[in-house]
Amino acid sequence: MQTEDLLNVTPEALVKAIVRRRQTLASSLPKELERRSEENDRAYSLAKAVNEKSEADEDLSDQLDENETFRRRTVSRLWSVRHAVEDTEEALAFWKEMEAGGWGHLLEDAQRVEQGGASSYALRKKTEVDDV
Amino acid sequence: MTNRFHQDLAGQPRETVEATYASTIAEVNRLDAERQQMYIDKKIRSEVIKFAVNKIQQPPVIEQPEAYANLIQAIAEKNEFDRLLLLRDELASRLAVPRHRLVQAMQSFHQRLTAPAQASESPHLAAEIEMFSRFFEMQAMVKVYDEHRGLHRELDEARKSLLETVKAINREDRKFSQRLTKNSEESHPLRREAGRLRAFLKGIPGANPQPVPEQVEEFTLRLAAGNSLSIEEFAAMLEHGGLTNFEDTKSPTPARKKRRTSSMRRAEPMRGRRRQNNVD
Repeated sequence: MQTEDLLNVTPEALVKAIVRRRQTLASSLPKELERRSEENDRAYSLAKAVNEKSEADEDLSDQLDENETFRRRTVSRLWSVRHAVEDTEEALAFWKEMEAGGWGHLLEDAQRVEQGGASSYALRKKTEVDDV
Repeated sequence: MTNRFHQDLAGQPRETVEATYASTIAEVNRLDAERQQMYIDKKIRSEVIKFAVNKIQQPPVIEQPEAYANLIQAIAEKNEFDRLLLLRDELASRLAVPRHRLVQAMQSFHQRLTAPAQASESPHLAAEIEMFSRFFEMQAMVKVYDEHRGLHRELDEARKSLLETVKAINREDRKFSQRLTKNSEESHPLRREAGRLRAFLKGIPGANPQPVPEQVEEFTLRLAAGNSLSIEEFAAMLEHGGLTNFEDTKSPTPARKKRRTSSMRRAEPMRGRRRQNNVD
């Protein structure tokens, strides 16, 4: 994107673009969640089966470790997707509210700069210098 | 009896020689005064150049602005350059981030906020809010930079203009040096002539010629104008008596205190052979 285009981006347009991206993401998440759930179920079954056998056969300890690692990884992936689902729902609710024009508080820094004030980067720099 | 140096004056009436002497002295005085003024002018030029190149903080006081139009212009241009520089520095400290970095960050934020991405790569809501807020702050910052784009151009022009004016003053300064040399060259033979005329007049009974004005050394003129001297010039002054020569020579220098010596004979170890009278 060229500088001129970036300078012409409005809050309304950006909120709409964010909502659109979030909706696209939201539509793909259920399938992803289903896939990850299945993967986790499979990993759990495998780990459980080997665990039962390993009580009788000590040679299966390597396989047990491998399955346990796989199970943990699938749990992590599953949680990531679940968090993404939650975050997307929350984000969609937030940005839809913003779509109605409630972004004013998000543009406080921009307004300060427009009115001749210091940027947040300059303020942070000044605070850092003052702290030293 | 006239010596060979005064043969041309021997046949002239005393009044004519006196008049010639007076006019020569007047010319010597005029050249000295002119040289003194030139040294003062040179000093003012030097101070203005120092101010223009930021070696000193305050410009010299110019009492006759109409006579130093280019110097007044240089001071005004330097003040304007300083004003623009201050504005630029204020802008830089107010925004803190260079324009090109802002544009890069805006492109990155816009991409992350709007381009489709997988769930694992998608920013969280908190990050989105932060990027949204920063994006529009940076947009405002870039607009401020663009509004002040003329400032950089003006600053550049002011710098170039000041540089040209300083160059012009430097060129004039070189001409000044030539005029100073010419003045010294003119003054020297006149002084010799005045000395010759005075010596002749002193030989005529009843004539009481005024003394030739004391030769004011270049160094003294320069020091009077507030100029500095080089190490070589200081060395030369020391060789010829130093600054004390230029001061009132009538006041006698205090005599060095004589060291008091003890009347008692000093006993100290001797080198070499023992003296004869000490031998028993």
